[in-house]
Amino acid sequence: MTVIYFLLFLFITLISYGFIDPNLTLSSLPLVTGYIRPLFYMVYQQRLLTAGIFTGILLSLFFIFKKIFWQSQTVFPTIHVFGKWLVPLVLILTLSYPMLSYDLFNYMTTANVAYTHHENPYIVMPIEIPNDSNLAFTRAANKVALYGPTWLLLTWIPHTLGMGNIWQTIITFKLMNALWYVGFCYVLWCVTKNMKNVIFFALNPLIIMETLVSGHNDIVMMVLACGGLLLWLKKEWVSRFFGLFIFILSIFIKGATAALIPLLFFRKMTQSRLMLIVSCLLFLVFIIATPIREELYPWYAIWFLSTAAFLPYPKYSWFWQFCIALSLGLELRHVPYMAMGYYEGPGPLLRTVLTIIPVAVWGLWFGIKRKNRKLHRNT
Amino acid sequence: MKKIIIIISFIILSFFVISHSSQIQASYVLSYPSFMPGNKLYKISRIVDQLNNWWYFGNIAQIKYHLGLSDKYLVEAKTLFEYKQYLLGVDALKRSTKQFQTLPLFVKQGISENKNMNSLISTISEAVVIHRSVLQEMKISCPEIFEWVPEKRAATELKLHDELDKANSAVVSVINELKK
Repeated sequence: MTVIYFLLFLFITLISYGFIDPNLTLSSLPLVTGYIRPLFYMVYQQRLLTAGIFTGILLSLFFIFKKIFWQSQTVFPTIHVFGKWLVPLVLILTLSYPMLSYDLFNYMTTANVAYTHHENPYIVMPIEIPNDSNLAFTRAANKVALYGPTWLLLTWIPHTLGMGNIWQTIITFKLMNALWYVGFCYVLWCVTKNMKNVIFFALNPLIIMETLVSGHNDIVMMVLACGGLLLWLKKEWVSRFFGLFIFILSIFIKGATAALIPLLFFRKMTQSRLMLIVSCLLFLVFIIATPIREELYPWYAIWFLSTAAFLPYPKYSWFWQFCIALSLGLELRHVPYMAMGYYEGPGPLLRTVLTIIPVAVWGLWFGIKRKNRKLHRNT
Repeated sequence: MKKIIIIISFIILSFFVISHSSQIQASYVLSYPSFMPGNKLYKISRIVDQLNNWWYFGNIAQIKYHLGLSDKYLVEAKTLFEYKQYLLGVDALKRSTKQFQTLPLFVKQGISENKNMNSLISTISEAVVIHRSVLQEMKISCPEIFEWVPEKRAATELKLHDELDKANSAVVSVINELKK
């Protein structure tokens, strides 16, 4: 099972280079261009086939994830066994092309504005430096920096390590996010000491696709927010102040964790209660605020999925199941664009339907299961 | 501790309000008058103007900053002239001109850093046209010379047309320098 799961992600890494932007040249080596060309043809000319393959992979990943999740204690008896399996997977996915989103290029271009052109990215839009070569393959070039100063400061590291090479910079950005992902898995293990919790987060295909393939920065925000809030509950003032400090840093990445500020006033609560409230609050931000601002982007689910992973499974199994069903629905939102090549037209409706279907199926299954259990009890 | 959290929350919220301000673009227009001399917040707004110089780092940002301030002070001068507050008006006019004159320096620095500055040069050209028309309007509606007589102090003679001409020629010299 774990081998198939691993191989599916290896396959994703291999085909991800077909999604390369037509204006981006990663390398002029004949070996690379010869490898990319047929994949590129498939992705851009055989859109339905690509969407079908992606849907198939996604369904397989979620199916295997569910299987691994149920047998977590036997598949991964210790964190060391899991770590040895996870690290190669993380490294392979770090080498993949960000096939599902252009956000990584926005991070790179913003860092370029700040550290190459020495301009304030909160004042100057990338498009205002028209001779910047990155503009050819960046989509939100007509916007000032969308992320807070914490993120901007962090991007100095991968930007510098990228040394002006686009491919190298993509990998360094993803490597940095991968380190935060591994860090979150470790914190999760330290807090819960339960492999089920770690697997619920670490192997959720949505988390892997959006963090390790697309390289979204939401994971960085969540590590800082969860770490900060957990330290805030401690008795020692040093821990509390450090917790407050890193919690504030998390707000200055994307702003979503600002919704958690009121929780700083309620220190006398258990960890699981805190994480339940955090998860619910972030779910509310996700479901209410994000469609108002733009739309339900799958990677925003990292906010509440990461905090839900701290909850004890026996008590909140229904919530975890709901999260998994929603994760599948959200990942399927990528399919309409993949099939059509544009976001408009029937795209919004299809995305909504594809998101609802897995959740509705789960709701139906859950309802029937509860009803049967009640009937069983009565008889 | 609660006070600290409230203050921090306020700072955080302020950051998001400031950083997500509207980015709507239109053909070149001057802003509405900001706080005027006499308003309690005027001095604070002037301090904020100075602090913004630090925030607007980079040559493109500096052009935006100095052009923005030049526009702001020109509108301030125009409003003060309309209310016959010529002494304050001339001061605002001088500040506007001083800000405008810094623009070629940042354009040159930007070009030396291999940044394509064509779009900004055309923005400055549009600004020159607007500034000159405002200066022309001001010249038509104000006396050539005005004697400012404050209470218990010596009078000051203000050569308003001369000041407006100086501002006009400074604005023109900026665009000539950029054309070179």
